[in-house]
Amino acid sequence: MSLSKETKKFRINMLVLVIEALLPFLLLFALRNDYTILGRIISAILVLGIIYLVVFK
Amino acid sequence: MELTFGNWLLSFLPILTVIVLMLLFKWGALRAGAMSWLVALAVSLIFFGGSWLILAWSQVKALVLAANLLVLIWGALLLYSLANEAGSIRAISLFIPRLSNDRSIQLLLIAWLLTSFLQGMGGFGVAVAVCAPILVAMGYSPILAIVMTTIGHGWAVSFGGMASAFESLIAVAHVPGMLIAPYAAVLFALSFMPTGVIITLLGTGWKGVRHAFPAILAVSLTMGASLYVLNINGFWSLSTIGPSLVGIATLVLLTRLPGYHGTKDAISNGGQELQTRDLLVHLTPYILLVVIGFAVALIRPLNAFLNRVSISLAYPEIVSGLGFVTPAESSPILHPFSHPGTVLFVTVLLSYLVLKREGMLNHTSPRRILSLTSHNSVDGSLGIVVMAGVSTIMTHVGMTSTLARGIAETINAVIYPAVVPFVGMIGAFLTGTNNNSNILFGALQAEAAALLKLNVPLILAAQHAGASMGSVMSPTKLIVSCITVGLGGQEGKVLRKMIGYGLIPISVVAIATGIWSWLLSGGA
Repeated sequence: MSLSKETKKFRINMLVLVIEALLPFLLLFALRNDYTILGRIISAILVLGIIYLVVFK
Repeated sequence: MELTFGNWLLSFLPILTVIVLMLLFKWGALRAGAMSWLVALAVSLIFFGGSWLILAWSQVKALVLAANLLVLIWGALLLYSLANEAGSIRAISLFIPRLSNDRSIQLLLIAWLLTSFLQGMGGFGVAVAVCAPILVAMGYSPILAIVMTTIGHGWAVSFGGMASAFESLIAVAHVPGMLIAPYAAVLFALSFMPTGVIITLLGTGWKGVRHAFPAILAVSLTMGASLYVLNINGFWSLSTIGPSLVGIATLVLLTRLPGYHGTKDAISNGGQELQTRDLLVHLTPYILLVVIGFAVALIRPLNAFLNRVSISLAYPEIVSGLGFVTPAESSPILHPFSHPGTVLFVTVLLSYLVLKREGMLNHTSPRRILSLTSHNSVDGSLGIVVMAGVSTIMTHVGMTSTLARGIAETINAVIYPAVVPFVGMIGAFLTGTNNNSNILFGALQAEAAALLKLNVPLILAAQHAGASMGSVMSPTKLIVSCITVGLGGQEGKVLRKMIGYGLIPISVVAIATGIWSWLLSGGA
């Protein structure tokens, strides 16, 4: 069953919202426990999420 | 942190990004806010000693701040979707002409007074979410509907939501509220006339302004007087609801005059007629909102009982690479059971039961209501999270402080009072709320006023007024407003139409503050 364009857009936006809401807490956890690589990965995803909003909204 | 022109300009860059992208390039608030977030992050990391740990803490604080607003927005959108599904928005738009067939009076009633009253009751987003769709249903364009309702309730943010923004100002500036309140009442009262004139001008042109001017004057005087009386007696938690009700009563009385009753052929609603009982049922969501809101806010034992549960998070001290210190602090105390968002959700639930019982909703309605709400709220929620993120990044590396210090230290004592409302406006534009602008700039304004030997309560009242009127034009609030009239993503267009008119009441307050301060200093 293929989803309509509107539904796909809604689901992607919802995913971005969830990611942007969760990542700061994960980043804080990683940095406070000296998980440097995890911290860098999370920071990168956080920034990429914002870049997605600039490019595709 | 050294204050240089370069640092000041860099601090201003995220705000400039939002303004330029929205006004010149007509970007939506979410997209412009996201770009501003990237600019703020880059500037903080490169020039202001920011770090990923500071980013993490600032974003966590932003999320807590945004969560408080999002509950309200989701509640307001749910209420709007329910009313829309039940046909209540259309029904109310048919009812308004019954009060008066006069177009100017209808406009003033909805875009100025009803929005102000709802702002006092529901806070963030509710006023425009409810009233803009009514104006659209009455035949106004969606952009005009948002501009008129937004400007109409700009003053009402100040003492809405139990005057939380005013309480924040008192707390951060350490100046008694009784000293600030009379100045605030006069400054807001001075903005009433221009607000009424702008709404009428936008909706009915200069001819309408000439026709409605006596009504605008009468409403401004009665609202101004009631605001002053409430404020000097310390009842500022009622200083939005009280004057709004007085204004509504004044206008309804004026509709009995032949000049404002209008002519029959002014009704153009397709000849649909409503029975009084149907109308009352359609008004149920709003009547319940008022009743529950009043009960929670004003019945002290109930309020105390609901406030027993509170949530507050503790944040540690944060120091930037350049030594800017954000002291250890607690998040604002959240009372989940007396929160306006909870009031909205309870209102929706009870209204649904009443409307379903009356046959205005069917078994497929909940699905449509929830679908409309969720589709509308996602982009708005993202926008608010992003804009709150920009604000907290700037605050934690000293960019906001640099901005305010630059203004305070370069402008002389004669000009400074007239600049204060615009500083408050910028703070509210950036953070989305009157409250946050007061928290950001309240202490600084008090300190600057004392250094310049100005009247501190007057300066704080001007900060509060500018922040209140600026907050309604902020991208975060525009996102919510635009969603309700189907203009999602077109916030830039709306802001472009609104900014010129929205600055008029703020300019009136700025000029009045400048003159008043000059007179208080003996004209020196």
